[in-house]
Amino acid sequence: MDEVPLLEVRNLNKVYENGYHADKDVSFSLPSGLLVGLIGPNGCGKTTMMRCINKMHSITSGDILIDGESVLPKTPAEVARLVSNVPAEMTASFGLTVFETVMLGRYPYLQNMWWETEEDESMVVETLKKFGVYHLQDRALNILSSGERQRVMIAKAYVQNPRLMLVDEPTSHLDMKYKLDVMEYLRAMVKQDMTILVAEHDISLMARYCDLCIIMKKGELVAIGDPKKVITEELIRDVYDVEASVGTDKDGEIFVLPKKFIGDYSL
Amino acid sequence: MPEDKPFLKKMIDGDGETHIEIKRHRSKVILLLGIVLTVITAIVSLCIGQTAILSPIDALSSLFSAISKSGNGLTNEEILIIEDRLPRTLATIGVGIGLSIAGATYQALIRNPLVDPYIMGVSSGAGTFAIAVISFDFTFFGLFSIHSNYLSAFAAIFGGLLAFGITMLLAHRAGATTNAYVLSGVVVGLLFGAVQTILLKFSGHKVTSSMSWLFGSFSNVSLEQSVIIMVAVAILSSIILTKAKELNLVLLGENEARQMGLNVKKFNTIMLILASVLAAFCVAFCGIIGFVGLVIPHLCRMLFGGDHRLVMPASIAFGGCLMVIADLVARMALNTQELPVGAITTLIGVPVFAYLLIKRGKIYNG
Repeated sequence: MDEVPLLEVRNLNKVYENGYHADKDVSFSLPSGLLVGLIGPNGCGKTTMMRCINKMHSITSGDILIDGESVLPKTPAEVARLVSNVPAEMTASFGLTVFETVMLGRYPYLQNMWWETEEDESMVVETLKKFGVYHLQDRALNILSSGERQRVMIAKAYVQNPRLMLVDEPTSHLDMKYKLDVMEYLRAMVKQDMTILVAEHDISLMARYCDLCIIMKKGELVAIGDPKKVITEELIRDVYDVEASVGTDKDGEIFVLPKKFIGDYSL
Repeated sequence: MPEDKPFLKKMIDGDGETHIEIKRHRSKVILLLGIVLTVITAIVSLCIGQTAILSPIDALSSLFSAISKSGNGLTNEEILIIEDRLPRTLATIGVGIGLSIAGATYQALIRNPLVDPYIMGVSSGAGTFAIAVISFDFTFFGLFSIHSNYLSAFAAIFGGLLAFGITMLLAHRAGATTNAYVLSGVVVGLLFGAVQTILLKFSGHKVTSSMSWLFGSFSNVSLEQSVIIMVAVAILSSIILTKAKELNLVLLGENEARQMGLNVKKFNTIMLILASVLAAFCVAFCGIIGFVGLVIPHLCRMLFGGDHRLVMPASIAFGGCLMVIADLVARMALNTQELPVGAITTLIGVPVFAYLLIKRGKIYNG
């Protein structure tokens, strides 16, 4: 490819202070305008990698480039204008309304200004409407349902206007309806100039919505590609030690039905 | 529809359509109300007292003539104003503002709206050393003369910051989480509280003056001391005020704030130090005044919303004048003698706190 990829991870290694090697020589690159699923068992290095990409964690070796430029020398505010983040769990905040919380997404652009501009405001209003939470704008964040709260956090990451959005297990606390809801919103958000990287355990959901899947196991990248081709019974057995049926429904969508754990529990 | 807005809401929000316009209007309301209420309560505080009640015109003309005479050949009225009422008024406003700002800062950093500026042990540490000075003539190994006006103030600041330092060390070793800060503050507070009790047990006839320090009073503040309080509060509060945007950000939690570009650990440490020094200066000359730092930020949030760019200025605007009102009650409630102002604020504060806990506790539990 002649085009500069939006994200390029080059030989990323992350070793924690206690010696745990979370990411082992991971390399891949992503073009702009995709919804990308990041799949793998608990502890396979997904979250660590995402935290390395937005500089929450320092990396042990390797490099991370956005639009061809390394993020390592960038200041936290510069990184925040390129990469936004939707956490798996929201810390309880008090006092701030839904509107104010989403408006905090504009913080990296505020610099020395005391108030946000009218443009910031109209951007937030538009986003709240887009995510169906406009009617909740004056409510306290803490009294929303988990599905609504998740949408608010995604809206906040969206108004940060990033090139890359990292979303960590967005549907873990949600029922079927809200899972679809969140994935629909993520799908709709992908624009020509933004890629979304979602770490998620629900493989069927990822296969249905993502353009591309990255599969990790024990800190290593195992596969990357079209989910309909990458996700196979062999891959699930290899990565999860689980016997599973991978089928296709009448619409041609892939589904994964886990059946039996074939690994060793003591490991 | 503007005509449907209740009067109070219309006054606070104005006719603004957007959130930004409404917030800008709210800032103007806060500024205006702050100046007007503080000036009015300050004038009342100059006029009213146990010894004499003056008209506002008499009080102000005595104040200006005393200033123009620069302290020479003053009449009794001028002496009363310049040596008693003015220092008291200035100190009251300063302490009210300082405790409110310190409280609002702690509440944001610890992400719990029900903590007060003493949660890190500042008051217990300050109290312990102040009692050591008052009851046992502890002079910091001869550093101060026993008659120094600043001995107990120095002791209180020293003790307050010592307790704060121990709390910080303990909390950092315990992982620097919100719970670690709160629990460390509580145990350090208990530790100094125990020492305090032992000291009081052996205080003998000086137990009354120790107790009155513990309940706070503005009756013995000198003009010089009140200026020190004002300057310290002005400097520290201004620095904290400039960080209002960041205080909003830390409400989202450490990881989120970091991801948005804030160095959270450094920010938290600096802000905790600033707020604790502020709280220590507030207790230094006037003793422990409870609940002001908890209730006033809360009142401001209820009126103007949770954005710290409004909560902080509003705490300045209302902290000073509400403290003056509490002090007026303490001065005038009994004919014969003054009540300790800290007891008054606690008497008012506890029911307010209970109300908040019952009514709004659920919202804050997330």
